[in-house]
Amino acid sequence: MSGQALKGHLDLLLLAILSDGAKHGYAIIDELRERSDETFDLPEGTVYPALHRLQKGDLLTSEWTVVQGRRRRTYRLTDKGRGALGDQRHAWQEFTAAVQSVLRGVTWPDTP
Amino acid sequence: MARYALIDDYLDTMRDGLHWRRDLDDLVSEMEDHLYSTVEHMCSAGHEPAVAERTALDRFGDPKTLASVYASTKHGGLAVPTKFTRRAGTVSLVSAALFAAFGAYWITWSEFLDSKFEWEGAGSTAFVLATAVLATAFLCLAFATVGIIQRTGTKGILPIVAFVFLGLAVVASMLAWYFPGWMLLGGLGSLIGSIILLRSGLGSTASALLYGLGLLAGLVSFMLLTTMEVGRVDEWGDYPLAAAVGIGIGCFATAIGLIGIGRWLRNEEPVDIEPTPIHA
Repeated sequence: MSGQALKGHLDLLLLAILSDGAKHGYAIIDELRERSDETFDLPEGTVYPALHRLQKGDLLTSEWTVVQGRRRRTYRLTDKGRGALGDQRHAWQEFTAAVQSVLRGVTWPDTP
Repeated sequence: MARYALIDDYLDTMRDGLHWRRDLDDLVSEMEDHLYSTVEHMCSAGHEPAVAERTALDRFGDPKTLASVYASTKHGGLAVPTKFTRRAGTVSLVSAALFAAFGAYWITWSEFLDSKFEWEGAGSTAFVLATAVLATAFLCLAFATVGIIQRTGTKGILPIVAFVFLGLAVVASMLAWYFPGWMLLGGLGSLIGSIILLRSGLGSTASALLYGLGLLAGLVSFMLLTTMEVGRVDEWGDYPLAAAVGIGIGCFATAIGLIGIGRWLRNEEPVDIEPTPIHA
C-alpha cells in the first residue's frame, strides 16, 4: 500500500505500535511492517516527521540514549497519547463498520 | 563501529538539505541510528554489507523527498527559506530605516510647525515628505510581512487578515496627522505577523515581539499620556508630547524589531524543495 493511501491514518498506527511500550524509530517501522504483513510500504524516513509532530502535540515523549556509540531516540506514549489513541481507534472502528455496512450485499464487478 | 561511505554521504546530503533546521543534529543522529540499525539487522540475517547498505538507503527514501516532508506544514505550505526570503529581509531593513526616520521627524520637527495644515513653507514640505516616508515604510512592512509568512509556510485566513490591515495602514498613513489610525491598523497587521512567526518557532523571539507590539505599544503610550494630560495643550486640544512619545516608541520599537527580522531573513540560505504531501 502506497504512502498516499496511509494519509490520515499514520498517526493512529504509530500510537498503536507504541501502546505496548517505548520504541525507537527503526523498531517502530519494523513492527509496522511486520504487523501489517508488509502491506504498509512507505519511505521509512517519512515516519520521523510524523513522530516529531506527535511529540510536539504532547502525544509522545522521547529520550536520548547511546547505543553502540550512536545516539538513539526512544519514543513512548503520554497519557494524552493514550487518550488520543482510544479516540482514534473508536473513530476508525465506526468508520470501518459504516463502510462494511454499505458494501454488504453489493456485488463486486468482475476483475478483468 | 564500522562506517559505511554511502550512508555517510547520504547523511551529509540530508545535512545540506535541512541546514535551516535548528534541531539538525538531532535529526541526522536519528537518521544515522536508523540506517545503521537497518544494515546491522540485515547483515545479521546473512546479507552482504554492501547490499544491506543500498537496501537501507532505498528503504529510507530520497533525500529531496524527505527534506520536503520535513519542511511541509500542516497548512500545506513549505517552511523553507527561498530567494524571496532574502529580498524580504532587505526590504525589512529598509522599512526599519523609514520608520526610524519618520519617528525622528515627528519628535524633532513637528513640534515646531506653526500649523500642520498650511501648505506653505518648509514645515509643510517636511510634512509631505514625512508622509511619503511613512507610506513607503508601511508598504515595505507589508512586503516584509509577506516574506515572514512565506518563510513559516503558513496559509489560511490569518495571513489574509494581516495583509488587509497592512493595506489599510498604507492608506491611513497618507493622513499622517491622524496617527492613531495608522498606528492601530499597522499594529494589528504586524501583530498577526508576529503571532504567526512566534508560533513557527523561527527567528528571534525579541525581534518578533518588537515587530508585533511596537506600534500598538506606541498607541497605548499616546493614549495613556493624553489621558493623564501630560505636557502642554496645543491649539487643537491635543498633547504634542504624548504624540511625540507615542510615535517615537511605536516607530523605534518597530524599527528595532524589523532590523532583527531583516538580518535573520537575509542570513537564510535559500533551499530548492518541491512541495510533497505529508502522510497525516
